[in-house]
This record gives sequence, C-alpha cells and structure tokens, in this order.
Amino acid sequence: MQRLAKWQLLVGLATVILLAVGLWMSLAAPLDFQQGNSVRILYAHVPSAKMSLLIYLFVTGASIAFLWKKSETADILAEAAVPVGAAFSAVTLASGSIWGKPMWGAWWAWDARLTSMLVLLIIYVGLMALRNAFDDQGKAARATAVLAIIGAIDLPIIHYSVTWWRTLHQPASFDGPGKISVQGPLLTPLLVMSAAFILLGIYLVLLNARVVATRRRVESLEDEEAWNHG
Amino acid sequence: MVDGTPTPDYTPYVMAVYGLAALVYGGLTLLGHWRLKGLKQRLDDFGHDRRERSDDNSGDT
Repeated sequence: MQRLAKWQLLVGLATVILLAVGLWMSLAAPLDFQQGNSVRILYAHVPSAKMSLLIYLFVTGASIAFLWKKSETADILAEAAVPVGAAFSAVTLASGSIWGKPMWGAWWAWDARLTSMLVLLIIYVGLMALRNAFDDQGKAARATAVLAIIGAIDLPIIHYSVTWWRTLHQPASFDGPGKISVQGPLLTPLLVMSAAFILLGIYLVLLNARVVATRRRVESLEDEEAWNHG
Repeated sequence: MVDGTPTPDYTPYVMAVYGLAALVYGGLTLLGHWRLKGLKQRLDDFGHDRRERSDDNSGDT
C-alpha cells in the first residue's frame, strides 16, 4: 500500500506538470481556419474520449484476470477504474455536446459515435449499480466482471462507428502513427494533453484503488468485530 | 472562415468545457483523498480500540 502511495504521488506530480504545460499550449495554439477558437474544446474532448475507451479496456482486462486467476487485486483495480472511466465518458459527451452546438447547430444528434459513447457511459453506470446491488462481495465481483466483459463489445463499435456508418461525427483525429488528420501546431497540444490525461487516468485509478482496498479492509474488520460481539 | 468572414468568438463554450473538466476531474481527486482520509481514520480507530482491549485483557489476567 505504501509503495502504491509513492507511485501515486509521483504520477500526481507528473500529471500536474504535464496538465499545466498542455493547458498553456492549448490556449496558445493557433485558431483553426474553420472552427476558430472552438478547436480548443477538442484538447479536452479527444483525450477524455481516448481515456474512457482505454479505461474500459483496462476494466475488461482486470475482469478477465479476476475470473481467471481469482485475483483480488484485479477486482480492486476493476472496481477502482469504473468511476474514473465513467467520469471520462461523461466529460467526453458533455464537451462534445458543447462543441456540437456552435459547430453542428445542435447539442445532440443520434449519431452512431455519440450513441455508442452514451451506451459506454450507461455500461459504466450499470457496473457501479450492479456492484452495489449485492451484499455478498464475491457475487458482486463475479457479476460485474461478467457484465464488464460483455460490455466490451461496445469498444470496437465506438472505435469503428465513424467508418462503419455515415456519421455526423468526423473520423478519428489521430488513430496511431501515420494516421493523424490534425496538422502541426494544432497537433502538439493535443499530444501533450493526451499524455497528461493518460497520467491523470493512472493517478485517479491508483487513488481509487487505495480507497477501495482500504474500504474493504475496514469492512472486513467491522464484520470481524460484529462476529466477535454477536 | 473560408470565405473571409471572421469566425465568431467561441470563448464561452471553451471556458464551459475547461471549467467542466476541471470540476469533474478535480472533484474526483478531492473526493478520493477525502474518502481515503476518512477510511484511514477508521482503520486507526480500529487499531486504537484493539490496543485498548488488549491492554484491558492483559490487566485482567
């Protein structure tokens, strides 16, 4: 636990530095010739979207590890990551909506990318609700792990929605090396903000993992006390 | 704009997004630290109670 706290502190410091640099670069970046300064919204929107997918991928991996190896650490990490992923998804949807109003003329459209992203947020909320629906921690862990694995089907749908269907949402801004549609001065702040958001995600998952592990320890001590006094 | 017309100023939209992101991510961080502090306090209380009980028991014998 102490080692986790040390790592969390280091990641936290790196996050603050990178976020400050990324924010400064985002606000100093040149305007887009069509979008004007609304392009700055994308420096928060795109990294949030990437993180909501990456965190779900992590939750899926941790869920598989839990079901396969019966590892409590994997279950703690899965439980800790879900609210963080939900927050990234919520910010993605809200920031996309705020960007969409001036650019598309609408806060929301039932477009394949937007709808599949909304489904991801609903899955995250469903995972939190399902875990809280059980008194037995073991059953809760197994049920949420199964739902998380089933829910992973939404990831390729989100990723490929812009190519599989004719959508209002533009294709991915950057999709790995050599598949970048954003040019030079607008790209650098996006990459820095993306790196900062990856660190922010790791920081929040580590922090939540400490909360979940400590809460479980307190609960087991409370159960022990109740057993001794009962 | 492409035809030469200046693009409108979207600063309120930009500020709304940055403010929302700061509120959500900052809020999540503060909430995590606040919960961790409370849980650690409860763990300490457990340790304290147990030490007291163990002292009492050793006094009895």
